Amino acid sequence: MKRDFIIPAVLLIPAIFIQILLIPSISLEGIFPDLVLILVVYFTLRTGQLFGTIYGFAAGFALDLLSGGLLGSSMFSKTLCGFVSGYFYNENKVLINLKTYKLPLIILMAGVINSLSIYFISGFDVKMNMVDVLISRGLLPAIYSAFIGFFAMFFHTGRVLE
Amino acid sequence: MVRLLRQIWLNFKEYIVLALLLILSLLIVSLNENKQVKSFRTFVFSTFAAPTAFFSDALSVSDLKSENLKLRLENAELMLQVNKLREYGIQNEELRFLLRFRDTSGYTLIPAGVIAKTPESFQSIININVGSSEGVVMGMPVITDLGLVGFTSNVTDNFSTVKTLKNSSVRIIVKNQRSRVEGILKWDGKNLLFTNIPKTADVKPGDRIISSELSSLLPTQLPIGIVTKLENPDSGILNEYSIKPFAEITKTDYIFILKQISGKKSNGLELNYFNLRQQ
Repeated sequence: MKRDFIIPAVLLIPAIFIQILLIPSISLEGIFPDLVLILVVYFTLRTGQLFGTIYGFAAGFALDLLSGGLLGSSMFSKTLCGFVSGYFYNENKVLINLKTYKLPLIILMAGVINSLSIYFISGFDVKMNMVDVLISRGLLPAIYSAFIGFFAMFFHTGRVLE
Repeated sequence: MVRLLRQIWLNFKEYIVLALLLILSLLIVSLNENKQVKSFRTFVFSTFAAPTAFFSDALSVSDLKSENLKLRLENAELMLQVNKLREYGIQNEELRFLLRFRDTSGYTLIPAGVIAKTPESFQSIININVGSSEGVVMGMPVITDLGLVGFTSNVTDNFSTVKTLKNSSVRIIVKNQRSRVEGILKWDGKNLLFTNIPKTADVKPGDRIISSELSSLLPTQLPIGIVTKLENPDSGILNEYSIKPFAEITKTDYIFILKQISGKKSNGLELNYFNLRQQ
Protein backbone atom coordinates (compact mmCIF):
# COMPACT_ATOMS: atom_id res chain seq x y z
CA MET A 1 0.00 0.00 0.00
CA LYS A 2 2.77 2.42 0.98
CA ARG A 3 4.63 1.45 -2.23
CA ASP A 4 1.69 2.86 -4.21
CA PHE A 5 2.49 6.30 -2.81
CA ILE A 6 6.26 6.22 -2.43
CA ILE A 7 7.18 5.05 -5.94
CA PRO A 8 5.15 7.77 -7.75
CA ALA A 9 6.63 10.43 -5.46
CA VAL A 10 10.18 9.17 -5.93
CA LEU A 11 9.87 8.96 -9.73
CA LEU A 12 8.38 12.43 -10.09
CA ILE A 13 11.49 14.59 -9.45
CA PRO A 14 13.81 12.70 -11.86
CA ALA A 15 11.05 12.81 -14.46
CA ILE A 16 10.81 16.60 -14.10
CA PHE A 17 14.59 16.96 -14.38
CA ILE A 18 14.60 14.84 -17.54
CA GLN A 19 11.68 16.88 -18.88
CA ILE A 20 13.48 20.22 -18.51
CA LEU A 21 17.04 19.04 -19.28
CA LEU A 22 16.80 16.35 -21.96
CA ILE A 23 13.38 16.55 -23.57
CA PRO A 24 14.02 19.90 -25.35
CA SER A 25 16.88 18.22 -27.26
CA ILE A 26 14.50 15.60 -28.75
CA SER A 27 11.84 18.10 -29.78
CA LEU A 28 10.60 18.11 -33.38
CA GLU A 29 9.70 21.59 -34.67
CA GLY A 30 8.88 22.70 -31.12
CA ILE A 31 6.76 19.61 -30.33
CA PHE A 32 7.76 17.92 -27.06
CA PRO A 33 6.59 14.74 -25.35
CA ASP A 34 5.45 15.16 -21.75
CA LEU A 35 7.07 12.66 -19.37
CA VAL A 36 5.19 13.97 -16.35
CA LEU A 37 1.90 13.39 -18.15
CA ILE A 38 2.91 9.80 -18.91
CA LEU A 39 3.73 9.29 -15.25
CA VAL A 40 0.38 10.73 -14.12
CA VAL A 41 -1.60 8.54 -16.53
CA TYR A 42 0.41 5.44 -15.64
CA PHE A 43 -0.08 5.77 -11.89
CA THR A 44 -3.73 6.74 -12.28
CA LEU A 45 -4.39 3.54 -14.20
CA ARG A 46 -2.54 1.62 -11.55
CA THR A 47 -4.07 3.17 -8.46
CA GLY A 48 -7.35 4.90 -9.21
CA GLN A 49 -9.09 8.13 -10.15
CA LEU A 50 -8.88 9.89 -6.79
CA PHE A 51 -5.17 9.16 -6.45
CA GLY A 52 -4.61 10.17 -10.07
CA THR A 53 -6.35 13.52 -9.59
CA ILE A 54 -4.30 14.38 -6.52
CA TYR A 55 -1.08 13.04 -8.06
CA GLY A 56 -1.71 15.12 -11.19
CA PHE A 57 -2.15 18.21 -9.01
CA ALA A 58 1.10 17.53 -7.11
CA ALA A 59 3.01 16.68 -10.30
CA GLY A 60 1.79 19.83 -12.03
CA PHE A 61 2.73 21.92 -9.00
CA ALA A 62 6.26 20.47 -8.89
CA LEU A 63 6.67 20.92 -12.65
CA ASP A 64 5.57 24.58 -12.51
CA LEU A 65 7.90 25.32 -9.60
CA LEU A 66 10.97 23.64 -11.05
CA SER A 67 10.55 24.75 -14.65
CA GLY A 68 9.79 28.39 -13.86
CA GLY A 69 6.63 28.38 -15.97
CA LEU A 70 3.29 30.00 -15.09
CA LEU A 71 2.49 28.61 -11.63
CA GLY A 72 -0.87 26.88 -11.79
CA SER A 73 -0.99 26.06 -15.51
CA SER A 74 0.45 22.55 -15.25
CA MET A 75 -1.37 22.05 -11.93
CA PHE A 76 -4.66 22.65 -13.70
CA SER A 77 -3.91 20.53 -16.76
CA LYS A 78 -2.35 17.55 -14.96
CA THR A 79 -5.19 17.47 -12.39
CA LEU A 80 -7.66 17.28 -15.25
CA CYS A 81 -5.60 14.59 -16.99
CA GLY A 82 -5.40 12.50 -13.83
CA PHE A 83 -9.16 12.76 -13.37
CA VAL A 84 -10.04 11.89 -16.96
CA SER A 85 -7.55 8.99 -17.09
CA GLY A 86 -9.15 7.69 -13.91
CA TYR A 87 -12.32 6.87 -15.85
CA PHE A 88 -10.36 4.03 -17.48
CA TYR A 89 -9.23 2.62 -14.16
CA ASN A 90 -10.56 -0.78 -13.25
CA GLU A 91 -8.97 -2.78 -10.45
CA ASN A 92 -9.60 -5.98 -12.40
CA LYS A 93 -8.11 -4.63 -15.61
CA VAL A 94 -4.96 -2.88 -14.40
CA LEU A 95 -2.66 -5.16 -16.39
CA ILE A 96 -4.78 -4.88 -19.51
CA ASN A 97 -4.66 -1.09 -19.32
CA LEU A 98 -0.93 -0.93 -18.58
CA LYS A 99 0.49 -3.60 -20.84
CA THR A 100 -1.53 -3.28 -24.02
CA TYR A 101 -2.22 -0.68 -26.71
CA LYS A 102 -4.68 0.97 -24.29
CA LEU A 103 -1.92 2.78 -22.42
CA PRO A 104 -0.67 4.82 -25.41
CA LEU A 105 -4.28 5.56 -26.43
CA ILE A 106 -5.16 6.86 -22.97
CA ILE A 107 -1.94 8.90 -22.94
CA LEU A 108 -2.94 10.32 -26.34
CA MET A 109 -6.33 11.39 -25.04
CA ALA A 110 -4.86 12.82 -21.85
CA GLY A 111 -2.18 14.58 -23.90
CA VAL A 112 -4.79 16.40 -25.99
CA ILE A 113 -6.60 17.51 -22.84
CA ASN A 114 -3.28 18.55 -21.26
CA SER A 115 -2.15 20.65 -24.24
CA LEU A 116 -5.52 22.32 -24.77
CA SER A 117 -5.97 23.20 -21.10
CA ILE A 118 -2.46 24.69 -20.92
CA TYR A 119 -3.30 26.72 -24.04
CA PHE A 120 -6.44 28.14 -22.46
CA ILE A 121 -4.73 28.91 -19.17
CA SER A 122 -1.40 30.34 -20.28
CA GLY A 123 -2.11 31.39 -23.87
CA PHE A 124 -5.31 33.16 -22.96
CA ASP A 125 -4.88 36.34 -24.97
CA VAL A 126 -3.31 34.83 -28.07
CA LYS A 127 -5.10 34.65 -31.39
CA MET A 128 -4.84 31.30 -33.12
CA ASN A 129 -6.98 29.38 -35.52
CA MET A 130 -8.91 26.74 -33.52
CA VAL A 131 -8.08 23.91 -35.92
CA ASP A 132 -4.43 24.93 -35.77
CA VAL A 133 -4.59 24.85 -31.96
CA LEU A 134 -6.22 21.42 -31.96
CA ILE A 135 -3.70 19.93 -34.33
CA SER A 136 -0.37 21.65 -33.68
CA ARG A 137 -0.83 22.40 -29.96
CA GLY A 138 -3.16 19.56 -28.98
CA LEU A 139 -2.78 16.47 -31.11
CA LEU A 140 0.88 16.50 -32.15
CA PRO A 141 2.41 16.78 -28.65
CA ALA A 142 -0.08 14.12 -27.51
CA ILE A 143 0.98 11.76 -30.33
CA TYR A 144 4.62 12.26 -29.39
CA SER A 145 3.83 11.59 -25.71
CA ALA A 146 1.84 8.48 -26.66
CA PHE A 147 4.78 7.24 -28.72
CA ILE A 148 7.10 7.61 -25.72
CA GLY A 149 4.38 6.16 -23.48
CA PHE A 150 4.35 3.06 -25.68
CA PHE A 151 7.65 2.07 -24.06
CA ALA A 152 6.14 2.49 -20.58
CA MET A 153 4.13 -0.66 -21.29
CA PHE A 154 7.28 -2.69 -20.72
CA PHE A 155 7.95 -1.26 -17.27
CA HIS A 156 5.05 -2.86 -15.52
CA THR A 157 5.73 -6.40 -14.21
CA GLY A 158 3.09 -9.02 -14.67
CA ARG A 159 1.54 -10.93 -17.52
CA VAL A 160 -1.66 -10.24 -19.33
CA LEU A 161 -3.75 -13.40 -19.32
CA GLU A 162 -5.73 -13.88 -22.52
CA MET B 1 -27.13 15.82 8.15
CA VAL B 2 -23.80 14.20 8.80
CA ARG B 3 -25.05 11.05 7.18
CA LEU B 4 -26.16 13.00 4.13
CA LEU B 5 -22.77 14.70 3.83
CA ARG B 6 -21.03 11.38 4.26
CA GLN B 7 -23.20 9.90 1.53
CA ILE B 8 -22.45 12.79 -0.81
CA TRP B 9 -18.75 12.42 -0.08
CA LEU B 10 -18.75 8.67 -0.75
CA ASN B 11 -20.64 9.05 -4.02
CA PHE B 12 -18.94 12.15 -5.37
CA LYS B 13 -15.55 12.39 -3.70
CA GLU B 14 -13.64 12.33 -7.00
CA TYR B 15 -15.70 15.23 -8.38
CA ILE B 16 -15.43 17.21 -5.15
CA VAL B 17 -11.66 16.76 -5.04
CA LEU B 18 -11.38 17.65 -8.74
CA ALA B 19 -13.42 20.83 -8.30
CA LEU B 20 -11.41 21.90 -5.25
CA LEU B 21 -8.05 21.27 -6.93
CA LEU B 22 -9.05 23.04 -10.15
CA ILE B 23 -10.29 26.07 -8.21
CA LEU B 24 -7.04 26.07 -6.24
CA SER B 25 -5.02 25.89 -9.48
CA LEU B 26 -6.90 28.82 -11.01
CA LEU B 27 -6.46 30.79 -7.80
CA ILE B 28 -2.72 30.18 -7.91
CA VAL B 29 -2.62 31.26 -11.58
CA SER B 30 -4.25 34.56 -10.60
CA LEU B 31 -1.73 35.03 -7.74
CA ASN B 32 1.37 34.63 -9.92
CA GLU B 33 2.34 38.29 -9.50
CA ASN B 34 1.85 38.20 -5.72
CA LYS B 35 5.01 39.07 -3.75
CA GLN B 36 4.91 36.02 -1.42
CA VAL B 37 4.29 33.64 -4.31
CA LYS B 38 7.22 35.15 -6.23
CA SER B 39 9.51 34.82 -3.18
CA PHE B 40 8.50 31.19 -2.73
CA ARG B 41 9.15 30.44 -6.39
CA THR B 42 12.54 32.16 -6.22
CA PHE B 43 13.44 30.11 -3.14
CA VAL B 44 12.47 26.77 -4.77
CA PHE B 45 14.17 27.74 -8.02
CA SER B 46 17.43 28.63 -6.26
CA THR B 47 17.36 25.32 -4.34
CA PHE B 48 16.96 23.17 -7.45
CA ALA B 49 18.94 25.22 -9.92
CA ALA B 50 22.33 23.95 -8.64
CA PRO B 51 21.71 20.22 -9.35
CA THR B 52 20.07 21.21 -12.64
CA ALA B 53 23.20 23.14 -13.61
CA PHE B 54 25.40 20.18 -12.66
CA PHE B 55 23.49 17.76 -14.89
CA SER B 56 23.26 20.28 -17.69
CA ASP B 57 27.05 20.73 -17.67
CA ALA B 58 27.60 16.98 -17.63
CA LEU B 59 25.29 16.48 -20.59
CA SER B 60 26.75 19.26 -22.71
CA VAL B 61 30.33 17.88 -22.71
CA SER B 62 29.82 16.05 -26.02
CA ASP B 63 28.74 19.25 -27.76
CA LEU B 64 31.80 21.19 -26.64
CA LYS B 65 34.15 20.03 -29.41
CA SER B 66 31.87 20.96 -32.30
CA GLU B 67 30.87 24.18 -30.52
CA ASN B 68 34.59 25.00 -30.14
CA LEU B 69 35.26 24.52 -33.84
CA LYS B 70 32.26 26.60 -34.82
CA LEU B 71 33.31 29.38 -32.47
CA ARG B 72 36.89 29.42 -33.80
CA LEU B 73 35.53 29.89 -37.31
CA GLU B 74 33.21 32.65 -36.18
CA ASN B 75 36.11 34.26 -34.33
CA ALA B 76 38.17 34.38 -37.48
CA GLU B 77 35.34 35.98 -39.45
CA LEU B 78 34.66 38.46 -36.69
CA MET B 79 38.33 39.40 -36.47
CA LEU B 80 38.22 40.51 -40.09
CA GLN B 81 35.05 42.49 -39.48
CA VAL B 82 36.44 44.07 -36.32
CA ASN B 83 39.47 45.32 -38.18
CA LYS B 84 37.24 47.02 -40.68
CA LEU B 85 35.01 48.44 -37.97
CA ARG B 86 38.03 49.72 -36.08
CA GLU B 87 38.78 51.95 -39.03
CA TYR B 88 35.20 53.18 -39.12
CA GLY B 89 35.32 53.70 -35.35
CA ILE B 90 38.32 55.98 -35.63
CA GLN B 91 36.59 58.03 -38.32
CA ASN B 92 33.43 58.07 -36.20
CA GLU B 93 35.31 59.36 -33.14
CA GLU B 94 36.78 62.19 -35.13
CA LEU B 95 33.40 63.16 -36.58
CA ARG B 96 31.68 62.91 -33.16
CA PHE B 97 34.30 65.13 -31.64
CA LEU B 98 33.67 67.65 -34.37
CA LEU B 99 29.91 67.49 -33.78
CA ARG B 100 30.20 67.23 -29.94
CA PHE B 101 28.09 64.02 -29.67
CA ARG B 102 28.05 62.08 -26.38
CA ASP B 103 29.37 58.51 -26.39
CA THR B 104 26.43 56.19 -25.72
CA SER B 105 28.22 52.84 -26.10
CA GLY B 106 30.16 50.85 -23.51
CA TYR B 107 27.73 48.24 -22.20
CA THR B 108 28.96 45.45 -19.95
CA LEU B 109 28.08 41.93 -21.03
CA ILE B 110 27.75 39.08 -18.53
CA PRO B 111 28.21 35.66 -20.20
CA ALA B 112 25.96 32.82 -19.00
CA GLY B 113 25.11 29.23 -19.81
CA VAL B 114 21.58 27.89 -20.27
CA ILE B 115 20.94 25.11 -17.76
CA ALA B 116 17.29 24.30 -18.42
CA LYS B 117 14.47 25.19 -20.77
CA THR B 118 10.71 25.12 -20.20
CA PRO B 119 9.13 23.02 -22.92
CA GLU B 120 5.93 25.09 -23.25
CA SER B 121 4.89 26.82 -26.43
CA PHE B 122 3.35 29.93 -24.86
CA GLN B 123 5.55 30.51 -21.81
CA SER B 124 9.05 29.86 -23.11
CA ILE B 125 11.45 30.34 -20.21
CA ILE B 126 15.11 29.42 -19.90
CA ASN B 127 17.15 29.06 -16.72
CA ILE B 128 20.72 30.42 -16.67
CA ASN B 129 23.66 30.02 -14.32
CA VAL B 130 24.26 33.64 -13.32
CA GLY B 131 22.44 35.69 -10.72
CA SER B 132 22.61 38.71 -8.45
CA SER B 133 26.14 37.86 -7.30
CA GLU B 134 27.30 38.75 -10.85
CA GLY B 135 25.23 41.91 -10.90
CA VAL B 136 22.14 40.53 -12.65
CA VAL B 137 18.81 42.10 -11.74
CA MET B 138 15.28 41.64 -13.05
CA GLY B 139 14.52 43.26 -16.38
CA MET B 140 17.97 43.07 -18.00
CA PRO B 141 18.04 42.28 -21.73
CA VAL B 142 19.48 38.89 -22.69
CA ILE B 143 21.22 38.56 -26.06
CA THR B 144 23.35 36.22 -28.14
CA ASP B 145 25.87 37.22 -30.77
CA LEU B 146 22.96 37.22 -33.23
CA GLY B 147 20.28 39.23 -31.45
CA LEU B 148 17.85 39.66 -28.60
CA VAL B 149 16.68 36.54 -26.75
CA GLY B 150 14.57 37.93 -23.89
CA PHE B 151 14.68 39.51 -20.43
CA THR B 152 15.66 38.30 -16.97
CA SER B 153 12.71 37.73 -14.64
CA ASN B 154 13.36 35.80 -11.39
CA VAL B 155 16.88 36.35 -10.05
CA THR B 156 18.58 34.48 -7.19
CA ASP B 157 22.18 34.67 -5.98
CA ASN B 158 23.63 32.34 -8.63
CA PHE B 159 20.81 31.58 -11.07
CA SER B 160 18.13 33.42 -13.00
CA THR B 161 15.15 32.74 -15.22
CA VAL B 162 14.79 34.46 -18.58
CA LYS B 163 11.47 35.13 -20.31
CA THR B 164 12.29 34.73 -23.98
CA LEU B 165 10.69 36.52 -26.93
CA LYS B 166 8.62 33.32 -27.40
CA ASN B 167 6.68 34.09 -24.24
CA SER B 168 3.19 35.53 -24.58
CA SER B 169 3.76 37.95 -21.68
CA VAL B 170 6.74 39.65 -23.39
CA ARG B 171 5.85 42.65 -25.58
CA ILE B 172 8.32 45.25 -26.77
CA ILE B 173 8.29 48.25 -29.08
CA VAL B 174 10.35 47.54 -32.20
CA LYS B 175 10.90 49.20 -35.53
CA ASN B 176 11.71 48.47 -39.14
CA GLN B 177 15.34 49.49 -39.61
CA ARG B 178 14.81 50.52 -43.24
CA SER B 179 11.51 52.44 -43.14
CA ARG B 180 11.60 53.35 -39.39
CA VAL B 181 8.00 52.11 -38.97
CA GLU B 182 7.34 51.20 -35.34
CA GLY B 183 5.16 48.48 -33.93
CA ILE B 184 4.76 45.95 -31.12
CA LEU B 185 6.59 42.63 -31.07
CA LYS B 186 4.65 39.76 -29.50
CA TRP B 187 4.42 35.97 -29.52
CA ASP B 188 1.10 34.35 -30.44
CA GLY B 189 2.01 30.79 -29.57
CA LYS B 190 3.20 29.97 -33.08
CA ASN B 191 4.83 33.04 -34.64
CA LEU B 192 6.75 36.09 -33.51
CA LEU B 193 4.63 38.98 -34.80
CA PHE B 194 5.35 42.60 -35.67
CA THR B 195 1.90 44.07 -35.00
CA ASN B 196 -0.08 47.33 -34.93
CA ILE B 197 1.30 48.36 -38.32
CA PRO B 198 -0.89 50.67 -40.41
CA LYS B 199 -1.90 49.17 -43.72
CA THR B 200 -0.20 52.06 -45.54
CA ALA B 201 3.15 51.55 -43.76
CA ASP B 202 6.20 50.57 -45.78
CA VAL B 203 7.12 47.10 -44.53
CA LYS B 204 8.36 44.33 -46.82
CA PRO B 205 9.57 40.74 -46.37
CA GLY B 206 13.31 40.84 -45.78
CA ASP B 207 13.26 44.04 -43.71
CA ARG B 208 15.34 44.00 -40.53
CA ILE B 209 13.48 44.54 -37.27
CA ILE B 210 15.39 46.11 -34.39
CA SER B 211 14.42 47.37 -30.94
CA SER B 212 13.07 50.92 -30.81
CA GLU B 213 14.38 53.88 -28.80
CA LEU B 214 10.82 54.21 -27.47
CA SER B 215 11.15 50.88 -25.63
CA SER B 216 11.62 51.35 -21.90
CA LEU B 217 13.02 47.81 -21.61
CA LEU B 218 15.98 48.04 -23.98
CA PRO B 219 18.88 50.45 -23.71
CA THR B 220 20.07 50.26 -27.30
CA GLN B 221 18.94 49.20 -30.72
CA LEU B 222 19.27 45.42 -30.71
CA PRO B 223 18.64 43.22 -33.74
CA ILE B 224 15.45 41.18 -33.38
CA GLY B 225 14.77 39.42 -36.70
CA ILE B 226 13.70 39.52 -40.32
CA VAL B 227 10.20 40.11 -41.67
CA THR B 228 9.05 36.91 -43.41
CA LYS B 229 5.49 37.54 -44.48
CA LEU B 230 2.28 39.51 -44.00
CA GLU B 231 -0.10 37.44 -41.86
CA ASN B 232 -3.46 39.11 -42.47
CA PRO B 233 -3.46 40.82 -45.88
CA ASP B 234 -7.20 41.04 -46.24
CA SER B 235 -8.56 41.65 -42.74
CA GLY B 236 -8.48 44.36 -40.08
CA ILE B 237 -7.22 47.93 -40.20
CA LEU B 238 -3.74 47.11 -38.96
CA ASN B 239 -1.21 44.67 -40.37
CA GLU B 240 0.67 41.88 -38.65
CA TYR B 241 3.96 40.53 -40.01
CA SER B 242 5.62 37.34 -38.90
CA ILE B 243 9.26 37.68 -37.88
CA LYS B 244 12.03 35.12 -38.06
CA PRO B 245 14.25 35.92 -35.06
CA PHE B 246 18.02 36.15 -35.57
CA ALA B 247 18.76 34.38 -32.30
CA GLU B 248 17.88 30.66 -32.09
CA ILE B 249 15.81 31.31 -28.99
CA THR B 250 14.92 27.76 -27.97
CA LYS B 251 18.17 26.15 -29.17
CA THR B 252 20.71 28.55 -27.73
CA ASP B 253 23.03 27.23 -25.01
CA TYR B 254 25.09 30.34 -24.23
CA ILE B 255 23.84 33.88 -23.81
CA PHE B 256 24.97 37.31 -22.63
CA ILE B 257 23.18 39.66 -20.27
CA LEU B 258 23.33 43.36 -21.03
CA LYS B 259 24.19 44.85 -17.66
CA GLN B 260 21.88 47.82 -17.83
CA ILE B 261 18.25 48.64 -17.28
CA SER B 262 17.04 51.40 -19.65
CA GLY B 263 14.25 52.50 -17.32
CA LYS B 264 16.66 53.57 -14.56
CA LYS B 265 18.72 55.67 -17.02
CA SER B 266 15.69 57.58 -18.30
CA ASN B 267 14.21 57.75 -14.77
CA GLY B 268 17.43 59.39 -13.63
CA LEU B 269 17.14 61.97 -16.42
CA GLU B 270 13.53 62.80 -15.49
CA LEU B 271 14.50 63.10 -11.82
CA ASN B 272 17.29 65.52 -12.76
CA TYR B 273 14.82 67.57 -14.78
CA PHE B 274 12.37 67.86 -11.87
CA ASN B 275 15.20 68.66 -9.47
CA LEU B 276 16.40 71.44 -11.77
CA ARG B 277 12.89 72.91 -12.04
CA GLN B 278 12.54 73.01 -8.26
CA GLN B 279 15.83 74.91 -7.83
